[in-house]
Amino acid sequence: MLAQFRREIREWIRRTAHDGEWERSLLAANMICPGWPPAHGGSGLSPAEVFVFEEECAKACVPLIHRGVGEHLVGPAILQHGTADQKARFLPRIISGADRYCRAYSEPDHGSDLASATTHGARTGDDLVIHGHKTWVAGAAEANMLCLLCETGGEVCLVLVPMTGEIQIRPTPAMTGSPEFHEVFLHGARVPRTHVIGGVTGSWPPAMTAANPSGLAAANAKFEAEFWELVREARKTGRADDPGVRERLAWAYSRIALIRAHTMRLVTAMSAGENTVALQATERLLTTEFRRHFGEIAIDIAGPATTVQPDEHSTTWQTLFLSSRAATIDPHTSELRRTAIAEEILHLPTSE
Amino acid sequence: MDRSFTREQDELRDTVRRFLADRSPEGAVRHLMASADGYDPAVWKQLTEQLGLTAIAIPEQYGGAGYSYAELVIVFEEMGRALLCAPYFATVAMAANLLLATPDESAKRDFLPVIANGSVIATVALAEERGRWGEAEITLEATSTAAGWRLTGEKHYVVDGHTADLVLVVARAATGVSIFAVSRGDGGYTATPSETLDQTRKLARLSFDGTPARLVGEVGKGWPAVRQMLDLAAIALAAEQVGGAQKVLEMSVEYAKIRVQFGRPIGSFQAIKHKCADMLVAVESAKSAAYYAGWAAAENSPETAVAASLAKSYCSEAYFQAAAENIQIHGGIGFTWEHPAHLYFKRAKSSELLFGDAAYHREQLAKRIGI
Repeated sequence: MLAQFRREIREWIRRTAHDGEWERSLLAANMICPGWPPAHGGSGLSPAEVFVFEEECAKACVPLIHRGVGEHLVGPAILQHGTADQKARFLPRIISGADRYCRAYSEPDHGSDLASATTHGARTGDDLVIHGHKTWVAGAAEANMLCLLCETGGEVCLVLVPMTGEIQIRPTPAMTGSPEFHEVFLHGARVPRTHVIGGVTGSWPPAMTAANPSGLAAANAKFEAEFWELVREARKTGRADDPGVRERLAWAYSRIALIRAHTMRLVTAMSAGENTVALQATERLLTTEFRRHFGEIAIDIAGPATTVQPDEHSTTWQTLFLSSRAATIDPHTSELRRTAIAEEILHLPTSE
Repeated sequence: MDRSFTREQDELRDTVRRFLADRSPEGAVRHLMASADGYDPAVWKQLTEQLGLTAIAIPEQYGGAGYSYAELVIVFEEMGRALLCAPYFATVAMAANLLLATPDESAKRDFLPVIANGSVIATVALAEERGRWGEAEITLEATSTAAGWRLTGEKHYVVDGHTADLVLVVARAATGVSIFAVSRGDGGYTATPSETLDQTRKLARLSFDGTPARLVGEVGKGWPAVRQMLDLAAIALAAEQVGGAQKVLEMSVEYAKIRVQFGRPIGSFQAIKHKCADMLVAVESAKSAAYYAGWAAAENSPETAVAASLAKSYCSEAYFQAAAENIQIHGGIGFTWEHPAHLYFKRAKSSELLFGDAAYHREQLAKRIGI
């Protein structure tokens, strides 16, 4: 069945990608956020079908139009916990690209410990008035909406906040030298309480809604493209025949193939409605740790050219090397992931 | 392409698991690993005649059940979990696969039905003293005489080589690597059991001295079939490794919950938690690799060779890592002969080294993807 879907979608991409209006064609065909239900603008594709669609887009070299935090976090939280009105109001604007979200969870003193959020939403009539300070917000400069965690009298809740005048952002230059994150300051930002997903009390679960498995195949395709680029680099510098270099390249390729096999197993199990908690948690750890390790392999193999910046090309591996340190930190550190696997999946005792 | 198990396949797993829990508990494993032959003929009879496990992936035209490699992966996984002591791996993963890969119809008709019904135990004699797995390593000499082919030389690390009724010998004729069949019943060679690190899998050294043998397939053109057999056997081994790794993970987690030190279960210490979490990641990823390779083999996909090297390299390391951590988590008791941790630890290492270790298979993979 999946093989047939692959043939059909490949043919559809081939026909559609020609007309030069790729994004508009995707919108018309409900193929942006394709995993969402048809009633809310998606195509109701199963996780396995989304995976295949992304793979075929990568093979056809057409861009995958992905709505980022809106697609993999906000949308699923609304679909699972939102009201009919919230679904009608927020979901179409994510699909159309009118609303671009960034996730504002962490705070200066609470990186991973989200339950301790101190950003405060005061209930004022039908509104929440929010004061607080968020950190490590990726994509804030491009976004017009915050997906914000704040506390409202002891309860932590998830609220969607338009980035209007009461909100300022300040770049946090990362070790790459680029402002990959921003700090966000909220000085009395006012939103209707209908912007709280799951109600003002007890919306902790919406914030923890399992991210949709979208973008997994696209990420794998990117790994593979980077891998072959590194092979070309190794050949250029004459290092491709060095047995040590070959071993590391082969290791990297075998991990990419492993992650693909694992992800396929995950999305297939999800599509069949099986419990995939263990598969999801292991996929995240496997992928994020590989990403960091590949950054290290890449700079070693690309060699001294990466330590100076004579041209644009040689900076690619340096940037990958530096930016990949974030893979095992954001949004969860590997250590937290391991503890969560041990306690929530293997049911080891929680007391320390 | 639909990568999930069917209900029928789940039932096969349940059946095999129940059978092995009953007929291959730890006591039986310990008894058989200390015995000369290393298997129980009564269990072998049940496993072949009653459950039909040797027939699974052999096509119906050769007396088999006509299922695919996807089913075999399930069986090997369960056998690895139970450390079954039986010549199943040698017979099915090696000999049957090699026969199926040759173009020799007459050999297939003669040997596959008796393998399928369990009346013949078979193996492949491939590696020599150097313990390597490539074509260039084959030196055992095959000469053509007026009375037929004769083999002279030694084979090492022959899995179940001393109990096999039928041995497929990979030898070098003047025109290149060729496959030959010899029968234990005909005599003509000596099989000396080796003292093995992993007592649950028997190995033997075979000596040939002008031994009469039957050519299987075309002379000088045997290697492609051997190559294919090695890929399929590597997938079977990877599945066994997955089963063993899952079992040691369960042992570790269970022990970490009940063993109390310093007034608390050791599983509440983060150092132990993170070890267990890493084992789960390794085990679940290993399953993904082995199942993917099994499905590729079942579909006879062009990805099979790469998938086999991926599975063998990843599962080898995952199993060894898990088996080693299992000893560490158990502490002193894990180091004793009495505790089963060492049985898995030794199986992990022996299966890692059989048919090439992780580094060897990553090199294979590099060649196969063209780097």
